[in-house]
Amino acid sequence: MNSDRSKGAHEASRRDFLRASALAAATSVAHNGFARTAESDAPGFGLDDLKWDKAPCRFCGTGCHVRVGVAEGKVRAIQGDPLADVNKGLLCVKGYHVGGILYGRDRLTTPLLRRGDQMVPISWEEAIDVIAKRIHAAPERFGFYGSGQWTIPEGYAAQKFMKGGLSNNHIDPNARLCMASAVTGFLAVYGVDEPAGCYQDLDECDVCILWGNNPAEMHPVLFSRLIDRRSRGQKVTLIDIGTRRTRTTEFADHYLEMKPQGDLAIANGIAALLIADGTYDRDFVEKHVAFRKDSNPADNLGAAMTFDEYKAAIAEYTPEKVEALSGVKVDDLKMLARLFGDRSVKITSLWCMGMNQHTQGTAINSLVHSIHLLSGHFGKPGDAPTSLTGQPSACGTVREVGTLAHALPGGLVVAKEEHRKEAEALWNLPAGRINPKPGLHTVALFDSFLTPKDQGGAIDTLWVQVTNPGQSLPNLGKLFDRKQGRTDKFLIVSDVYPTATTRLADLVLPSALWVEKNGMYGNSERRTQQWFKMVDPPGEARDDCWQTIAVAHRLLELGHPGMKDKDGKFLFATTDTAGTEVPIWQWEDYYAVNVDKRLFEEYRGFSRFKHKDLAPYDEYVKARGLRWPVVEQKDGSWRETRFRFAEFDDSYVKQGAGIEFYHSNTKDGRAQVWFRPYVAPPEMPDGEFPFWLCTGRVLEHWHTGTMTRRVPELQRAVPRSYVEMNREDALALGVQNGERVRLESRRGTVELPVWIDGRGSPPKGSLFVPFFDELALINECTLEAHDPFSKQPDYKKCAVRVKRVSTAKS
Amino acid sequence: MPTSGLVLTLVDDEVATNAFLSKLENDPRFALGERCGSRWPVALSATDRAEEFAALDALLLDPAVAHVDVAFVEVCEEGTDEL
Repeated sequence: MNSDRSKGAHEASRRDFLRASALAAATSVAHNGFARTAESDAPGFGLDDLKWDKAPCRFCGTGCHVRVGVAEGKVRAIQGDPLADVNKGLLCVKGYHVGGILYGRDRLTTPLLRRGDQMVPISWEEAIDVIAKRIHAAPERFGFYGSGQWTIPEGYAAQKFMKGGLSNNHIDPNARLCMASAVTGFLAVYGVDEPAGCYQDLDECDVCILWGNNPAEMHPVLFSRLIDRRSRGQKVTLIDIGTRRTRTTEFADHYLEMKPQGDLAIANGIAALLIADGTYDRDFVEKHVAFRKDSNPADNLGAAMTFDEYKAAIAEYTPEKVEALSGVKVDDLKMLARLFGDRSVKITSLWCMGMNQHTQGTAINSLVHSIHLLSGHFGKPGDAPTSLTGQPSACGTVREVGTLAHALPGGLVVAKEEHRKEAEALWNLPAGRINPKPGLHTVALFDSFLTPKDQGGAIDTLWVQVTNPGQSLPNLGKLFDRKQGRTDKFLIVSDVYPTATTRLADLVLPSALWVEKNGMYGNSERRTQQWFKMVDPPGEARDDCWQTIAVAHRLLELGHPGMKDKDGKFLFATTDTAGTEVPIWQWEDYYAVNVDKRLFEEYRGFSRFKHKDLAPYDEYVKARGLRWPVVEQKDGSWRETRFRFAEFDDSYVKQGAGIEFYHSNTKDGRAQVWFRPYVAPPEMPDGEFPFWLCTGRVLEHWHTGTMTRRVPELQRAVPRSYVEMNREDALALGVQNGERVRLESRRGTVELPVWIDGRGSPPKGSLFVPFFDELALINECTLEAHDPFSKQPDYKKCAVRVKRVSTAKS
Repeated sequence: MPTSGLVLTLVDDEVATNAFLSKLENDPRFALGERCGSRWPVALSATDRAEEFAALDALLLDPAVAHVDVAFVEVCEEGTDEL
């Protein structure tokens, strides 16, 4: 009885506390200030009831920090982190519900092996054995498909296992589908990857140009940083260049609607006017810029050209020609050129998938950087070309750890002998262990996996971690659905829920998710973030990093020589503080040491090669992330860098240089301004397939929806996918809101309800479909054509036709 | 018993907002915080998700309410069976 009363009182106290916390958070947001901590609002309710800790949000690349409230082994509450510079206590609707992703009813909790049509529960022991034996039988025919949601240590372990252990470079991430063109753009222009600026640019710019970007839905916290400035009386001009009206357009001062692929013409047109009008920044150009054009055969270094050659080449992009190619009016183009020609305003360009998922993605990335360089809108807070990422660690795990088929950690590449030697030295490997030939990029990896061996298919076993290619790959009929019924190819999938990918898997491994494990991410502004495990994963779910290490150790037991370093030690040998080896390949011992810390400290050794210096692990424990290069100061403290290549903030710029591009491709401290011509899309509407199709995301769901569709609040808000259609097109087709239509491309079909004048509004002849819905796979229709340098496919433009399938409203 | 922290932005109509706030003060599921201009912080405690959704819908439909922001969410363990 007393116990019941005590329990009841406890529950009432917890309720009161949660209510007080909820009101405190709401008050802080209402008053537009920093949120107060829940502990300070409710003294007496501290560690015993709800223990709060920090973590980056699990979703997009913004890198907001949340405070996670844990009690009785469960995540009980989420709050925006007031100490986080990125989000200052605010979160978007997904961020507030991030805790709910742990508690979907259908979490995977035990390994499952396909036996005929059945998925049969098996032990972890057997699962690890199955994988290791398949790899051991043909290590060169194994592929690893990872993710920009891998934590940094997870990606690093997979990278070392493949390239340092198996001498196999067939490892590539889903980030190939989302930001590979941003990488090749940065490399082409600066000789080194990732943005020079940071989110502070959003606080200081006078003009923000959104290139095919919808941050109001995709990066809402960053967008609110811009919009909040208006509510404080600051003038920020927003220019939205896009192919459809979105929620972002509602806030824009100028909406410039372009034809698909028109961005190439617009960027060239701005450059042409800057040159023709003499409004480019002569001083900046003379000191800091060289000129480049495509070479033959084409590579991403290109060929040198003089300023006069550049001037002659760019001159063809007259405003009239640009209007014909892009649809953007002559006056609007001149307005853009005038802004870039005005050194008194600060201009930030933002982009994400619109420029990256593009068959000329490297070109358009290079061109936007180039107009900033030509006009001198670079190197000052608020004056920057900045790409955003879609995944929480596309930068940290993919671009920095280098989990791409051609890369090594820290900006090194497998093709360069000196880079391989550096990696072999850091990993203590025998000389020649790392294979010099780049592996298969994502599209080629899946094509090879689904091609029979006797027809040239080079991959027999593929392990997918932390991603859902069965929904996210383009042209699914070609690149994924062919796995159905195939027993000659073995698909392993580590995930947290059943997905479109696990449907065709031969072995499914249940994974730990987010704060069920230690982790580190790297966000869009070079900020490396850390968190600790807060709750246990359900059932037998285990960390992806442990899975990789356990397979590596089983391969060692099977006698694979690559699992040893040159001293005969296991690749992932780990000791405790007393120097005793800890068998981290056994799950019960995995958390006996901090494996993340051990892997990160090893990985840090790579960060010095390209001035991407990282601080010791413990510095990240204390911080809400630090932006690299993080440079040790004379007093032993660590200083992050907000603005790269600018002397006032970047320690690596020579004194007196002002601006210095210290990884210049031309080895002279200069960045490259590119001439890259307009190229038409590979598929365009015609009489048979008369509509443009663009795909993308919605505010409430994150990517393929496997997590957000398990959160009742988010699922209820947008339960199913739809096709946005222009009213005139709907009238011509005789369809009304809610009626189902069939979209057909040359590759596949999908049925969807029509949404007219919905959240987004495409122009006549264009359609938009989100890709979150597993029950309506729009990627059956999309095209796998990809950029020649980045190998990133274009999900934003292909041709489809529309047919009515019923008159019933859904 | 889910708890949410909400920020209600009210319309510029004193009669409507007074009536609305009076209604909220008499509803034990709501706790009102300190007003900031047209914005009112509110804590909502419902008995279950269905009641929470219904309460949110009622707020959104009320003519005195221009906008509802969510500022705090208690994590739901119910999951969804809508897939």
